[in-house]
Amino acid sequence: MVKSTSWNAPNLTRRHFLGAATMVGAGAMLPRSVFAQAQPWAEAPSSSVDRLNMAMWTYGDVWPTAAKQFEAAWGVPVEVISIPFPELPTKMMSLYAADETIDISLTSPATIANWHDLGLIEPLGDLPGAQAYVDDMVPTARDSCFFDGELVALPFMGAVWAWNYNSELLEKVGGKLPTSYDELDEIAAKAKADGISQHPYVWCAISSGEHITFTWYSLTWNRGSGLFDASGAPLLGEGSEARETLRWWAKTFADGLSDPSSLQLSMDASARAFATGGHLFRGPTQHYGLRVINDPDQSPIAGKGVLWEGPLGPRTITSWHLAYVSANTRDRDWAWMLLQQVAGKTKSGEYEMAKQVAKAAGFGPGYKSLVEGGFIEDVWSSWMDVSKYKQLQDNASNSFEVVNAFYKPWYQEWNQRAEIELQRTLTGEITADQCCDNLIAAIPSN
Amino acid sequence: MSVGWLAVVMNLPTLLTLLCVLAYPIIFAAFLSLHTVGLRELRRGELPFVGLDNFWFLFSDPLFWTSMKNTMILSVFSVTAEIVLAIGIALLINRKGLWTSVVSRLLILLPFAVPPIANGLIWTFVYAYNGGFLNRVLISTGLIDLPINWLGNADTAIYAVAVPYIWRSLPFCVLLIHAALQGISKDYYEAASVDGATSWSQFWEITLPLLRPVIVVLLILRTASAVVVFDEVIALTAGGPGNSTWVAAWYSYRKSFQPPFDIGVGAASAYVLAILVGILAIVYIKLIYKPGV
Amino acid sequence: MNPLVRTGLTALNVVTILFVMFPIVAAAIASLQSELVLSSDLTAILPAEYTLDNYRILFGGTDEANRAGTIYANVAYLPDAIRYFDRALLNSLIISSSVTALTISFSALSAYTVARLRLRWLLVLLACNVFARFVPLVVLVIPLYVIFRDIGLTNSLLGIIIAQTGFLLPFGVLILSPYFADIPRDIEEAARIDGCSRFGSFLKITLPLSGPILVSLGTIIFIASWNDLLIPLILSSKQEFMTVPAILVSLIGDNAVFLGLLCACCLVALLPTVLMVLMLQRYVVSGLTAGAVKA
Repeated sequence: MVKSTSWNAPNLTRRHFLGAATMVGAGAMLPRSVFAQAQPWAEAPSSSVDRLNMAMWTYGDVWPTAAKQFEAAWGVPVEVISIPFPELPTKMMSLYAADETIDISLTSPATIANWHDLGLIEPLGDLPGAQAYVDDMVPTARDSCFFDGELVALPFMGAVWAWNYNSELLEKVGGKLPTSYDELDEIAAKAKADGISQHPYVWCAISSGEHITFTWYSLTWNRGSGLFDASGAPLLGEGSEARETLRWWAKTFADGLSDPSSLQLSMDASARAFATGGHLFRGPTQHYGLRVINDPDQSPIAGKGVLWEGPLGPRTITSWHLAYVSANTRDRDWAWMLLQQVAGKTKSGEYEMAKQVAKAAGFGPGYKSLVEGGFIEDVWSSWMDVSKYKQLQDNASNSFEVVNAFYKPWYQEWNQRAEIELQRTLTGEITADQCCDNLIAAIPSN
Repeated sequence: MSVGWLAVVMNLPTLLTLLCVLAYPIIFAAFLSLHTVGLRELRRGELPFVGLDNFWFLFSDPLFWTSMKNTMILSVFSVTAEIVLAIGIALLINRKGLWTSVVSRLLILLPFAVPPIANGLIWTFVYAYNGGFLNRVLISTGLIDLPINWLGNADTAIYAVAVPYIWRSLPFCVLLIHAALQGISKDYYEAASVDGATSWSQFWEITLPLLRPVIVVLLILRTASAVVVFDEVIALTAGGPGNSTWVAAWYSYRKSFQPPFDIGVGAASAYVLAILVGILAIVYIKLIYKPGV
Repeated sequence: MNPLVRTGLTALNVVTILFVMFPIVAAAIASLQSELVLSSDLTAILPAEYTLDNYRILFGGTDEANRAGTIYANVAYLPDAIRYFDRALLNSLIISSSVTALTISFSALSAYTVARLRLRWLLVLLACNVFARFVPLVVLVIPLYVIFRDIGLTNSLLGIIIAQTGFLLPFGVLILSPYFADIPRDIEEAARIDGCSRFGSFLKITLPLSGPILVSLGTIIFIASWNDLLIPLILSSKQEFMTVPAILVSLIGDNAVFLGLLCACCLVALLPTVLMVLMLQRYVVSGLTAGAVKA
């Protein structure tokens, strides 16, 4: 590495989370918070703005609807800057480089360090009602929203990584789910040999938008290990679980058990490929792809896609996408109102957006009161076993704990490299050992 | 008004545009390539000077060399294919008395109008492994039993990307060669026929030598265009699988505009490309373009 | 013609036509079916059931009322690019027309001087134009992004218009100057004896005589501008300022990919320019050949 940057790596560890609760607790005791404590989401700030904006990854009508509701409730029009998910980091960088006014935006856990480090994320702990949200957050979601001990975001959606299997094809190969990777391979090989499935596995392994890397992370974690330790040092050496997992994964391709087009499939595209009915298993990816797989309007195998924890039990990862107030905001107090509209409570006191995205898309809500109140059973039961989802979510670890390097300034560049090296391994161009050696070497020493 | 002043005034819009939108950016790109330019620096408004570091980084980055290698493969393959196909098609549409040739002549222009990105996206459906159009056609006609993973093979993906590019570049090549064919006097062929030469030998002895100038033009122009292919890559493979379709323009774009947003390195890599194309331009000017006014 | 040769040539023509039409036909077939039909049978060329719903959604919008009764009635999420497609078509139309008008005006003025006024620096300018034609867009667009960012021209149609005009202008000069030079000087000189100024003779004599080449140039520039992806992709990060190609890119970058809808979008995107080329065939041919070999 000839180039060096002047990043100051924020070092986030568990101890920051522990410190966080006290800090936010202190924030809640500020006088204004006390006044607003009754219904902070229903009280307009004293400042005034003529408009607000939000830069969001697109999700159908969700954001325009939120904008309309906000205007109806507060009389402030909201502009939606809508960006497809994989392009979000790129376009946000361009917007920030041009120093555009951005009131609120979204980030994945893998990019939050980047924005935080650039000073683009406003801390929220002192704002009215913040503590109530923190208290209601699902534990993994809560951990995701803190950075350096400060509340910096609200969770707007979450996903848990899980396998799917095709129940009809599973019946044909004996109907028994495997409890080890050896058994899994046996079943897959039998399905192929018996002509039940040409490619028993299909994966989400495209090299963009946190796809192929996350599939590898969740596979490795399911087999017992993270990818980096708590200090951010790699766990990729000789004999590491990450290496063995990758070796196994690459072998499924070499043996013709994996659909070779997996390398071109995003989360949604892998769901659609699985929906054609040719595959027995869909490798671990975000749970809500089942919404497409089990939708009779879109899928020939509707009703046959089942959520599954994988051969080694419900040890998996979860990832919370976060909504934050940008430091480029025109008015922090009003931006907080808009943030609540999107990722907290609306004027009515309901988690309206979280409910809408849960219903429409299957996104996991980040608040306990929604997860426990029977709401998700109502809206999800037609396409997914909700108790299984809850079991997985309860056993899931945050993706940034599995890959502590998210918080390293070099992660973005390393991730690009990882996407390429992983694909080269799966096509058989290099071995799992070469891949991991390359990835260790790609970590800058300073 | 004197002739000199008239020339200046009439050229003012062009000169201003060329200076502001072409010359200045190109000089500025050189400036950027010598500085660290990222989001942090742009927001601060200070661009630290790093000398040739961006270039050293480039030359030590295996991905840059892979991109250059892929660019070369893509260029050689597509330019050769374009010219060979264009000669064949131009001869075909030049035939009189065949109504199918008239149809070809009209339709061959069509790809010129298709936005390259739309073309690339359409080919994602053509190439798809599970239920792509090409696999459907080949399976239905019994030519293959199992689908082919057109874009998934690291050794051949770059050729798969080249095909849609060739498709959209063909009209230009065919037009130029067709125009040149029409300029060849019939007398040559009549004389050759009298001497008993076959059509095959007429092609090699008369047509091809007379087409040489236009082929040189095409070689230069099409190479200059092939080394900066971008749209098909972003539509079809985004560089994958692995790094097998990373090409030069994709490298510059990814480095500059995707995390970690390294505009300095992006500008440096684009500059390398500019120099390569610049050499082609000089050859073109020396060899072909002789202003006769 | 020998019947064997005739059959052979006809066969070759059929192959050529099939190759040219192959992707277009593929897109047309895909655009007429639902995801369900597309994924139910992976080997059929023609679908078991046809639908116009993809076009209905594209032109009618993605809101629930319009989705009702279509194949997308219960789909939670449609790519946002669809919502902005009308806007992108309008943007593209505004941008391409402006770029065409500006490029023709600027290059005609400049080409006239190159063709008629014997000044050494004009020949240098011409050589610069030839050289400029080779500048790769990606080299240009990286610095342009930084420059336009400083002067507030990112996320604006004007920025895209300026950038494309600059990029396409040299091509215009190269096409027009040899054409102007070929117009006999005597016509102009006669007019000048009658008291017409040089600029006047350019407006009243040269331009009217150059109708065909101006149509050629206009068509080619319009298409080049319509088709350009890199400039709008990099200069605009907000969807309101995106052109059709930039919106198309966001379709593949999206969470959900609906192949039928995607193909419908592509066909609508290519329709205006394809119609233009088919109608103005002769002009496109003469413009493209003139630009490449003559000087």
